[in-house]
Amino acid sequence: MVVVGYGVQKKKEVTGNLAVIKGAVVADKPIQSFEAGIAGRAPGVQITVPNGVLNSPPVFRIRGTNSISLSSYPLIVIDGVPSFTNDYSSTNAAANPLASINPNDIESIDVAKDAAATAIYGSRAANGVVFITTKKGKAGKAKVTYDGWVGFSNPYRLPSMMNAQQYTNFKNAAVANNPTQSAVQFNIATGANGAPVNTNWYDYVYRQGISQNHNVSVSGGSDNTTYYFSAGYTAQQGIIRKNNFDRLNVLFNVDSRVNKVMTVGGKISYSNEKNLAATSSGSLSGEAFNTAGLGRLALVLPPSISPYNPDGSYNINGASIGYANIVGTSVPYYNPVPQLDLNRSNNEVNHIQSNAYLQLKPLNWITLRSTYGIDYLNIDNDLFWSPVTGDGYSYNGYASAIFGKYKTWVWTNTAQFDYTFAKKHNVSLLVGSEQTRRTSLAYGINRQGLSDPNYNLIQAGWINNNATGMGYGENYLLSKFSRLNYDYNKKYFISGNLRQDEYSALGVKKGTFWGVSGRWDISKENFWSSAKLDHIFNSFSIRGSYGKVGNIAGIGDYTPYSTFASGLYGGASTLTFNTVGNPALQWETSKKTDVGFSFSVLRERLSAEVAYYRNNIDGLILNVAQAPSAGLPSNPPQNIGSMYNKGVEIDLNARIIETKNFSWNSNFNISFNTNQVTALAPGLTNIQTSTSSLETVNRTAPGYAVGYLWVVRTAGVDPETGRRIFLNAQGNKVYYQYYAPSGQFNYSNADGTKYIGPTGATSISQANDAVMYGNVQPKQYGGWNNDFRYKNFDLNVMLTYQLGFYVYYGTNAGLHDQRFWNNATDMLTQAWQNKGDANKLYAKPVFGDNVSNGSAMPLDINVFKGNFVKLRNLSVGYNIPQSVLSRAKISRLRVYVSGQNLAIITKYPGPDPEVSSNGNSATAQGVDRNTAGNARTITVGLNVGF
Amino acid sequence: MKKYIINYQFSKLGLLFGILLFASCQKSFLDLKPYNASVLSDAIKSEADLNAAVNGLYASLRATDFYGRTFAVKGDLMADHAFLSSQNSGRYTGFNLYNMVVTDGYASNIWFNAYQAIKNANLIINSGLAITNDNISQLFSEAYAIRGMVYFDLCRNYALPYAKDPNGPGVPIVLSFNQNAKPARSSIKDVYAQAISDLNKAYSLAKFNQGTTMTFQSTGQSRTVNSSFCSKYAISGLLAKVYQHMGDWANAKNAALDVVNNGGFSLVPSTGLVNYWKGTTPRTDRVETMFEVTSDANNSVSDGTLANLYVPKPIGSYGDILATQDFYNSHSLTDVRRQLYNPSTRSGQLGIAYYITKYPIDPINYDDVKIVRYAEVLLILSEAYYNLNDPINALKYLNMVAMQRDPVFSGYTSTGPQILEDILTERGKELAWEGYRFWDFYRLQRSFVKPQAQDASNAIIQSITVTPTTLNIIFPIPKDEILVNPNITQNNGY
Repeated sequence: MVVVGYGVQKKKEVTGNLAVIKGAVVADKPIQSFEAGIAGRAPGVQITVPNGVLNSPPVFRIRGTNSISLSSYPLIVIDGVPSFTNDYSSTNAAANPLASINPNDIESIDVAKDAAATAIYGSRAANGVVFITTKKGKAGKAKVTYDGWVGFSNPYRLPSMMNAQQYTNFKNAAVANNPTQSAVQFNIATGANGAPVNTNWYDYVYRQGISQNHNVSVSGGSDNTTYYFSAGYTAQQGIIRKNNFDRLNVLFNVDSRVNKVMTVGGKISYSNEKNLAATSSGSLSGEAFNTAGLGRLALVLPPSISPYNPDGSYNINGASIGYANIVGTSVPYYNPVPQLDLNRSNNEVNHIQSNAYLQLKPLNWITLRSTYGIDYLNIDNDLFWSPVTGDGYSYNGYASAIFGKYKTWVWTNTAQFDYTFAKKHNVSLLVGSEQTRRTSLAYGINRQGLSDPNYNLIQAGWINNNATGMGYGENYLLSKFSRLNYDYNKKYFISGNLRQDEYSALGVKKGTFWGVSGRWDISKENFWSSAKLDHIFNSFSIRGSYGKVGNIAGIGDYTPYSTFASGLYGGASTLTFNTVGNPALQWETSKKTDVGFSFSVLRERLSAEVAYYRNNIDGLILNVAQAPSAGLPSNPPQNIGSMYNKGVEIDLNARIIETKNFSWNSNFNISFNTNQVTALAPGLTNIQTSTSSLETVNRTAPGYAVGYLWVVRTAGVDPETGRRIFLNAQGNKVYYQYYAPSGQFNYSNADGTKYIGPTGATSISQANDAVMYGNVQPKQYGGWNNDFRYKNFDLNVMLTYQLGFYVYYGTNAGLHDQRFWNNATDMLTQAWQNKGDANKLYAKPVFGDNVSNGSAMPLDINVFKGNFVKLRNLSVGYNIPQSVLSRAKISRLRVYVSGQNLAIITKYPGPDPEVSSNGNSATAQGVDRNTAGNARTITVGLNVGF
Repeated sequence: MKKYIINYQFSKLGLLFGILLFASCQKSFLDLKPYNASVLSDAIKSEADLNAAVNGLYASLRATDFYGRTFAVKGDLMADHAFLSSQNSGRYTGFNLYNMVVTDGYASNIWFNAYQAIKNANLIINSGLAITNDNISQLFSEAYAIRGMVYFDLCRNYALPYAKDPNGPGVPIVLSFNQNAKPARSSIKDVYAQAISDLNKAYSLAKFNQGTTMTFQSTGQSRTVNSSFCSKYAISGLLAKVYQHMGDWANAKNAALDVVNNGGFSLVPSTGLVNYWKGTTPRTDRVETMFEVTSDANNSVSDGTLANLYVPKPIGSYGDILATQDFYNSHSLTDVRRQLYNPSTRSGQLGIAYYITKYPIDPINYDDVKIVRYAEVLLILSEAYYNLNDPINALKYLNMVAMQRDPVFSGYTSTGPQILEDILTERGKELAWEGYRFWDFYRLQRSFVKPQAQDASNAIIQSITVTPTTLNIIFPIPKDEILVNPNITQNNGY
């Protein structure tokens, strides 16, 4: 049975495109939320774990990116209640609300992809719908289980950085190449023991994270009442120091048949999560260029200075690190050690998800059901910056506390009629209505100027107080829906879905969405067996669907309204018209086509599903600029752009070996996806999306996939002079030198004359010379899962892959920047040194040069193919034989060792091509800028059943 | 019978579910309006709303690329007594080099901010609130005054001098808010006429001079009309400036004389000048400041202030723009204005760096921007008398300023055209770093040499001769406007 939205259906009878993932695949994994564990598990499902920060939401896409300004995150429905998604944190510790579902409590994950499967969710269905079903009890004796593991996480593939001696020699040589900076001098500091300092900053920023996880569940019941109760505790340490995730959760599911007609039941789930971090990792969306960013500090800081002075105190100089041994240039970055020791950037989530239902079956073909569900998420953010150094220095201490309260209630009423006429005509009709109300509220204070330095709490004595983190919103969705399924003798299936949504946050509130689909089980036709095809195929069916659904994910609550905002002028209150609404705004529309076939052969040992799909998305909401002279304070949103995703999905399941002692089951899936923007708006030729407001490398334009990389091209390094050779927009070579001796120029033509571009520009710039360079969305992705069993041993080998995309490795620009920044060791061999050095990757080192290797503007030398195959999971388990267990009254005991991300095959030079410096951004994927990469984790665990 | 009971129960259940399915919705939830912000159409309904909206109009002048900083920077950096240090933060290089292009960010930000302010003024002026008391009249007066002032500043930044050709293209005149408007450029003459019409309307509605207090009957709250508001005689000062740019000397004289005779303003005494510039509180004493855009700790453009640009670290920030040695030396040793400079050295800059410390802000990171000062009105009056062939009065008002600033100076005694040269010299010193010098060349259509870099002996080693036909003396119409507004025309050369 699979969950289809307001009901369940037999997988073989489903006419829409639904992928089924068993809950077991995410259980006992060193992850915080289930999505991080489903990469490669189903076709059409693309998961990118963006960084090594615990509990940061994975990039989750179903069949490509389906929006530009709104969210492309699928709708997640947990036991019938749509969940909060994304990051609710206001601090540097991520808070994915889906982490409140203990992965061990998940029974199944059903992924609806096409219009037929999703249309019952109408205006929220365009990104696909994911149904999470938690475990329920079964009638019978109470079953008790315990699952626990201990894990060890480490960073991997960190760039190889210069040591203190290499750094000092290299930088001094670069200074010698720049006469204007002759005052600059690099020396190695002396440490506490009198020896020269040689700091490996990785040691101070990263660590081996040690984690543990425990779950206990009790389930069982009588014929009339069943229950499932579980409690979980997990304490996980990330690879970044002080980055922890602690969760305590309980879940109680109960169903009780009161009499023949009436059934009642419900669920209570409570979770408390502590997301802890000391300071910015530089890895979450918006953090890439943080001066406090730990991932960046580990790379940029000179190895010739120490975090501590010889007397053991912090080596600091005001806000930044102390650098007395470096003369003539400043090192304006923070010392990570006091940041880690003294600062806090935590949050705590309390999350209740609950529902109760009443079901009546007055006749055996009629089911009436009313369900009321809630999802309450409260989050406390707690941030403290010490006055000693770093971010808090200029404030003389800074703290903020922000409380956020997010509430949903959903009331669903359905009536289902299942009837069979003349034994062959099976009809199932669902009608229903639903109301969903969401409110959000947040408020906080920030306090500056710590008056008692012995305290570090928001409640301590402070000088200045400001309001912060104010938020208020509410919305309401009123829906009516219906589904009609009909099949003739389980051979021909047709289905129609219809939903009308009215949404408060839109100008045009009411819309109708629908999907139609059909399936033909050809193998049940007489001609199939008469043609002896049944000797080859055990089953064969074709299916297809078409429909129209919408997207409102992430839209503001008050888009139709133009609003004033208040402020102050000379202490007096002000009103200013500051936001332009659009009373005609409606949802984005996605028209989805899906056709496919499925079959099984070899006595069902090999089965396959193949689907082709195309999603045409119209009415994309874009903020379109009007004439500035009209005086609009903001660009009003309009339904104007369009794009499509199309592709093919193949899913193969095989029971390759099936013997008493040995079995091998394998699943292989691959998805091909092509995304293209077909239109933006008049006057809006492209949309540029920045990384942390500092660097823009993604550009969305018609004719290209969303968020294409937009960089300046280069043509190597001139062997004669060591100058970087840029290509201007016309493809002409332009020679660049950071230091131009008298009579020469920074940018010159091949003959040494001053470069003057076609527009009159005398330098190369991204605005003038960048080109649309590379696609960041994987063209192929999927997984290959293998389960082996030999007697009491089991082995799982899970590979995931993404192919056909590029990643902008912006970190690499920093690794080769010629300011005081530390450089990667490849600079020692790959930088131009002497006349005649051919095929060098990096220009002649000239102190101060931030242009030649890509810091000042994004260059093609830092764009790499992201293709990878990862050994996502490898685990070996052993089931203790029953003969041993029965004496201890244990029904099952398994011990295992498991590894995550143990190996990766890629040509990508950074830590991990599975990365996103811009989180879930639709338009700024494929960027790796100062991001701390993923962890490699080994766990040892056991599963016990009593 | 049993069947009947089941059917009966079923019909009850059916009824119940019918109600649940289709009748239980709360339609009112579908009309959720934001309540932490006012909806545009409901905004200005009372005296108190009007007051808040007018305050919002003032706040919109504060932007860095508007009155906050860039207007003033343009008036000095694009003229003959300042240059951008070779060691700079990358700001305003196009102003120093006179090589702004059509995509220039300052040009497009100013245009955007100016039309924001005009939009804010239009929403107030067109709010339909009846003028039932002096307070409402005063508040409408201020909205008209700001709109007139912004049109004047827009026109001189984006269009050629009035004296060159009043019928040339000015800027679009937008008098009401229309989301879909794509206005064409009006003539320079019409934009000046609009500015004067707005300022005259403002003057006729003005009820309060600086230092008086308005009390709102409806709320009981009061509003002290200090220098952060455009009070009655500040409007006359603005009018004098507009007439000065048109070369309409009779009207310029009348407007300036109205301030002198009726306003009750005085010059700051020489002993108080340095502290005057240090002050960050709006004035109510009618000393020197007639109108300024004010900032405070919580409502400022933070680092985007004049002080942060001119004053170097540690008390300021960038210290990017330096005065020339010649200009500094043109101040006599007894000229109190000489104390507004700090001759120093600057890493990466050859020669002595004459830092401009007119805006010393330590430890506060905000400053107020003067829009109309009494000294300026006196100098306009002097220039008007000169042009009306009254050299005695011209010298009288010129010396009123000059002798106040240099207590041992015995006054100008020049005759003929030299009087105008002396007025311009005195304006250069008195109004330096407030954005005036460039406009003196512009409105008089004069050529000048703009310094761009100095050597170790403080000699100017790079410069450009700017003439009335130099491209960059006016901004380009922003590309954002050209892209979406088919009715707009670009300035020649861009």
